[in-house]
Amino acid sequence: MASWIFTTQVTNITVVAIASSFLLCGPNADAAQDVCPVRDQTSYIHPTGPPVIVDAALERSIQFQRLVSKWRSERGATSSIAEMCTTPAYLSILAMGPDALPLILGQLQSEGDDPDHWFVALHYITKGVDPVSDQDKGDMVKMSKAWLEWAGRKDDAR
Amino acid sequence: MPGSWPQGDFPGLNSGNCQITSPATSAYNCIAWAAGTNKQWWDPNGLYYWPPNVPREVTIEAVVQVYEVLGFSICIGGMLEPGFEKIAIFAKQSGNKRVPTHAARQLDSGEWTSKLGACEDISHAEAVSVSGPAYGNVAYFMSRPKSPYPA
Repeated sequence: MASWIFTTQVTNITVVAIASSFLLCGPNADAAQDVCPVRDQTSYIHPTGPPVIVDAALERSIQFQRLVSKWRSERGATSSIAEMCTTPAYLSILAMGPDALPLILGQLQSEGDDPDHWFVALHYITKGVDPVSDQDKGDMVKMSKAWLEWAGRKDDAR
Repeated sequence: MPGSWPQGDFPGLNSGNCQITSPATSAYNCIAWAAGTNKQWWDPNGLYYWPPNVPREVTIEAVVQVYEVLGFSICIGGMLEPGFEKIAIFAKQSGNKRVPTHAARQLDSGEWTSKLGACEDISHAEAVSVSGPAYGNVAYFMSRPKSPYPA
């Protein structure tokens, strides 16, 4: 009887040990290398370096880029500026207020010869500025140029 | 035919009846493209180009006026008529009113060309090939005599 109990306990311990090893190491070799100590090597489960500090400006920039991608997906194939500029993502950009201004101008500059529809946002955030002449309205490249020149003049005035 | 537009918006488009004819761009839209230009984005919003003396409002009447200014008048259908250029104006129901959504232009072959928002422009077999949840249906066909002088 004692022999049976001993044998059973040993078997159970062996089964538990194998199962734990599998759960900890995972079914593939890479996972095992990440987690299981390998002889003569130090292994780390968690990074030990200092935490990454994300400042507010970088966080805004990341949020803005996320909204730009979302907006392009949300607007679909609409031709209507009213529809395009009232999607949730575009409204979220408007809601960022003056903080979004340098981000939008940077985006406009990066788009070069195929600028996107940032003019409604710029007009809104600047509370009604429109540096585009009547004859250039609708010409996206000229509209973009007018806004970037306006931004340059604004910076010079500081 | 994997364009950049949401495929579900145009259930009538397929590789057999549609061809992409330009890269995606925000340089011009369907209203301008149907009027024959790829240099401007036409929109009643005050920041954009809109033909003079046409009300800056998002209504079918205003869009019809845009093309009337360019010499088009409402006609019966979209069949090819030698000596005439045709366009189709699309609208969809929004609440209790119909809002304009799109304009397409007939090509000399009888096929149609559409600029899909800020996506690509395409040629499509029938005007109604772009009907669907995005653009609704054709509200009006308009025509004008072809200019004897090529643009």
